[in-house]
Amino acid sequence: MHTSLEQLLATSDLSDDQKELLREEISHATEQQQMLWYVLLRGMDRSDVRALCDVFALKKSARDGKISLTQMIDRQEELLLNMARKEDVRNQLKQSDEER
Amino acid sequence: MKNVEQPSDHGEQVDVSSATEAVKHSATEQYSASVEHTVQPEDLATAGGQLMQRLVEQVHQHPSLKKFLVIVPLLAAPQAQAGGLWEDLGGIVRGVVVDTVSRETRQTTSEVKYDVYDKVYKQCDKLSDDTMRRMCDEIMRRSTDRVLRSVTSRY
Repeated sequence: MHTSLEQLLATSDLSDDQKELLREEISHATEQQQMLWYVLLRGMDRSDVRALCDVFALKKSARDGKISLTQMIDRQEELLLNMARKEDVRNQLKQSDEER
Repeated sequence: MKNVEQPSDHGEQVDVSSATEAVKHSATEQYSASVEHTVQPEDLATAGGQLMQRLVEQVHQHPSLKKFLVIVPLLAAPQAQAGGLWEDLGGIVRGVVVDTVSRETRQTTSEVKYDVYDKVYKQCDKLSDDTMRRMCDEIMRRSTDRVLRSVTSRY
């Protein structure tokens, strides 16, 4: 992993478990995928980054055999849908404010 | 693509003693499965593809889901690589990074040597959080169509 990405992870406000999770995930990524991770970690809202951590935590649970792949997909879908619902509501409120 | 299925939990009616045995047997089987079953990267990639398909089907109801589609190449890495999806998304990431870095550092795009990752990371480290946020939004925006096309045709 590139030192900039490592430093970004180390200084982020993620929990130690989340950092370790992403460190493990990113260590398997290609250089181009690592660049995408870098941009996502710097450019995404913190809440979205945390949601991503949860998505990848579920992937790890499935990889470790703690949950089935079906459970993994169901929970990942639920997580991302909840995030999207909240953001859709925020966007609608913002749009209503702008129209007033 | 193959389906990822959960074992069925529908059983026949049996008396209590055989039901207890069945539960014990089932628990042992499940425990063995959880200990011995190794999830292959391909299975995870396939599952990642199924998740993306589900999300794509709901994008019209929840437009904000689009932004999460950028994680396709990260969740379904081997498949995305094999299907050429990553190649295209990698191109999008490269294009946006090079455009942004060249604009912000007043270099020509050819002067930003993307393949020299060490240099690119150092230049990005100096960019403001606002610039990085815009770069991220742009990558998500440009990736959406490509991912939608890929998921629709592939999964």
